[in-house]
Amino acid sequence: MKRTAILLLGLGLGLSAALPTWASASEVVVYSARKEELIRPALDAFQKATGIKVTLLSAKAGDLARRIEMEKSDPKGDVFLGTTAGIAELLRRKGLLAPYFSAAAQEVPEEFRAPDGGWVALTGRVRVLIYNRTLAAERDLPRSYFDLTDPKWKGKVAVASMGERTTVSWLAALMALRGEEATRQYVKGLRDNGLKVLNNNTEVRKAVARGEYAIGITNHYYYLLQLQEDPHSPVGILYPDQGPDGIGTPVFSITAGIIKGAKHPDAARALVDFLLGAQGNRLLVQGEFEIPLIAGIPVPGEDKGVKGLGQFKKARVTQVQLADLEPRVEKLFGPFLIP
Amino acid sequence: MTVRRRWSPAGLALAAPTAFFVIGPLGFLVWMGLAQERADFLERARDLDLLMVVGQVALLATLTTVWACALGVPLAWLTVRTDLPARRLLHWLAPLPLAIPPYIGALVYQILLAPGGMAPRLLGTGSLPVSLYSVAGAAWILGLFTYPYPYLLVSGALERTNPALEEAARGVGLSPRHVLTRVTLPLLRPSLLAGALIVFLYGWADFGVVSLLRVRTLTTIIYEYVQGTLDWALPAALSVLLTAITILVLLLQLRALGRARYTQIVGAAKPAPRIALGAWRWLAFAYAWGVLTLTLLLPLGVLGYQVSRLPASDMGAFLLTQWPYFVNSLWTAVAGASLALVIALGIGWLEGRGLSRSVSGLFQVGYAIPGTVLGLGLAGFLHATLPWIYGTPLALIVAYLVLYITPAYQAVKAALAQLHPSIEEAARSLGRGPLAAFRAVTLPLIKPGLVAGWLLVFVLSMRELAATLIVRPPGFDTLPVRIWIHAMDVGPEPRAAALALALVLTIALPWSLLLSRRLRGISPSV
Repeated sequence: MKRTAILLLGLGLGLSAALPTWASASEVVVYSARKEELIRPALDAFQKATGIKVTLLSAKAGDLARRIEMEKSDPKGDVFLGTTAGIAELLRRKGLLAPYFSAAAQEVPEEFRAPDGGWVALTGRVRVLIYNRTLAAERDLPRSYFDLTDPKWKGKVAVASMGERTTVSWLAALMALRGEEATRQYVKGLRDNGLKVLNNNTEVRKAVARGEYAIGITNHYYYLLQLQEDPHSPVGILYPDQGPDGIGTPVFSITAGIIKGAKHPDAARALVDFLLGAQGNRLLVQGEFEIPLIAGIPVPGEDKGVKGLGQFKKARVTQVQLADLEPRVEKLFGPFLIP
Repeated sequence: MTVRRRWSPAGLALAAPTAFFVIGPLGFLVWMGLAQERADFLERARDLDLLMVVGQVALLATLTTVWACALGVPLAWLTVRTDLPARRLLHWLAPLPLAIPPYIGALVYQILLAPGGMAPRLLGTGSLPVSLYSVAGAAWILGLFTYPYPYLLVSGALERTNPALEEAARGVGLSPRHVLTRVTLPLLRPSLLAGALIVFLYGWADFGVVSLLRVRTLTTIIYEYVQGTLDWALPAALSVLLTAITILVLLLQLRALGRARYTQIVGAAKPAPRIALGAWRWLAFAYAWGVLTLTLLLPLGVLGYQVSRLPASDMGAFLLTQWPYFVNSLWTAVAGASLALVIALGIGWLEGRGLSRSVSGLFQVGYAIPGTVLGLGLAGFLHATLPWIYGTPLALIVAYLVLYITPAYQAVKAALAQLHPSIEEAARSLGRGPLAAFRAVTLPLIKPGLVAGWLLVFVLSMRELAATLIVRPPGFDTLPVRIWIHAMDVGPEPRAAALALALVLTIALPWSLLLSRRLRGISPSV
């Protein structure tokens, strides 16, 4: 019968597609919260260099973390790549990440490593402001995040929803440095000033470039991504809170952690080594437009005003402190950080 | 003849697993949601403006329903009952937009109408006076791509109603307007209500469109918490709330329909006379093609244009890398549709032989569970109870089964309803066993209906997004998931458009086959 034939054909096709991934012993399953396009080159290079097949699950950090927690009795993933250290640290505290001290991790500043080796930062991302040069004159630009509650910016500022973990980390950084009450007041001020919550950072950069909003609170590489998409975009980058009384600009990180009970622990370690090694880390930094945490790797976009670690005043808050405060941020501000 | 309804072992064997997969995820969510402290929930409900959100979703669903019916119902009347030019072509084309999932429709209209999009650039303005990113914008999109539901149901009813009723009304001196309001419309009421309900529920539970257009709904709140936080309790509690309201709406509808039941005469004595539109013909013609332009021609054109912006060699190389995802979508949808049909057929057949109706009632609850909610509940439930299904493609197939067994069941029921049991009994009296009689007599007769049901589930499964996003195993993305990732990461650019076009064409092919069967009157049950 025709229907049976179609059914068999479909099942056959499906099995032929699915079998290689199930049968492959030399494999590593990566749970990645990172934008897939940007992380692909480094993962492909790893696959090519080692012959270990990379199976990728791209989703947002919370979704992946929930999976890891749910799957703890029988983990399906090997390596977790988070977009901030916060959620990796939360997973570590729940005992869901296995310690691993990669020799290459010694190069990473201590602040960007979990004390017990549960996670390690691969590259850095800076929480900057991007602005539309036709809508905001150079001299009018805010100097601090806290200037954004000025009526001058009413309805002109956009930020990504809490689905983007960096938004949560950003408020956690403010909370760590200025306290809960001041942060509460600040968020209320932003809301009263018409802060627009968009779906994600990509929307933020596009909306600012198009002139829908004058200022976007986002991560530095979105500035470079926008220029890559359209070199003539009227966007500028601004490092807030650089003055003597400013809190500094927070730096977050892409973090890698090996999932406890991973089915492919050796491949997982090999991947972490590779991503911290000279070749892999360079690819990661270049592919993602991040700033390197390891000495000797050039900063992408330096000619366009992007600053490397040590070239700007960094907010004095550690990744672990951020993790401490993130659940509180979720609870207090989560409802406001939804489009 | 009344049959005492009961449970039979065979019925139980079919119903138990299905019910398990429907009730299990919901039970899991109730259990997780209970972990949420009441005071805490109320506080966050206030922060979330939950009442306002529920009101907004209700408004969205209502606007969507009105808009979809405004598009679909007049079109149905025009193609079935009037001398509209090219009506057979229109009748074939009108349901085709169902091949375009509304989230792809939203992508298309973003390209067209969003600030900096094609239309504002053409007009030389930054943005349009009415924003696409609003409840009205979401309703606009949802209505455009769900109108085929009321269209199909109403045009089907118009084809089946006996024109003698309307002739009689005219005979006793009613004006054409009164014939419409007193006879035709009341006769259409059940199909109209059914079509409107499908659209209403679609708008109510939609995730893709509202998410792309940043309209705050229960599903987007749930998804934000799922993707942004480790929290289980709040999204679970909201899921239970969303499902409870959905089931309530369904029950209300059942009551409303229960009071208005008309016996439709299958196979009208003669086709209704076509109404001559006269001078109105060309206005109606413009209206019909206007609808199709907005819902079919424009979307295909825009996607095609986007695809053409990337050099063909790059596009080819890209599409080659996407082949595995296409295969993933195809075989899980085929498996889901087949499984749904087999179970629906078994239950439908047994119901004709006295199986309790509560079985089908139970699994029809699955249709009321929004995809986002099912995904969340199913992942947790499968992991806890059937870990060997969790984390494999089987989880997707189960999701499709739970979500779409109801349309399969309805198609089976419609096909079986046309058969009198005596036909099969005659075969048995000639010495065939029950299965042999079924194969020799029943199956060939109901086959067109089964094909229709299978195709419907296949189409719906191929385009499922919300549940798939949450339950897909690592490395097993489907076409809709890839479209979603591209659209969210880079926006509706050429590659997202190419995947969208691939999906639309894959769905459109079997769908248009089904529609041409319907046109030839082989398969009236869609």
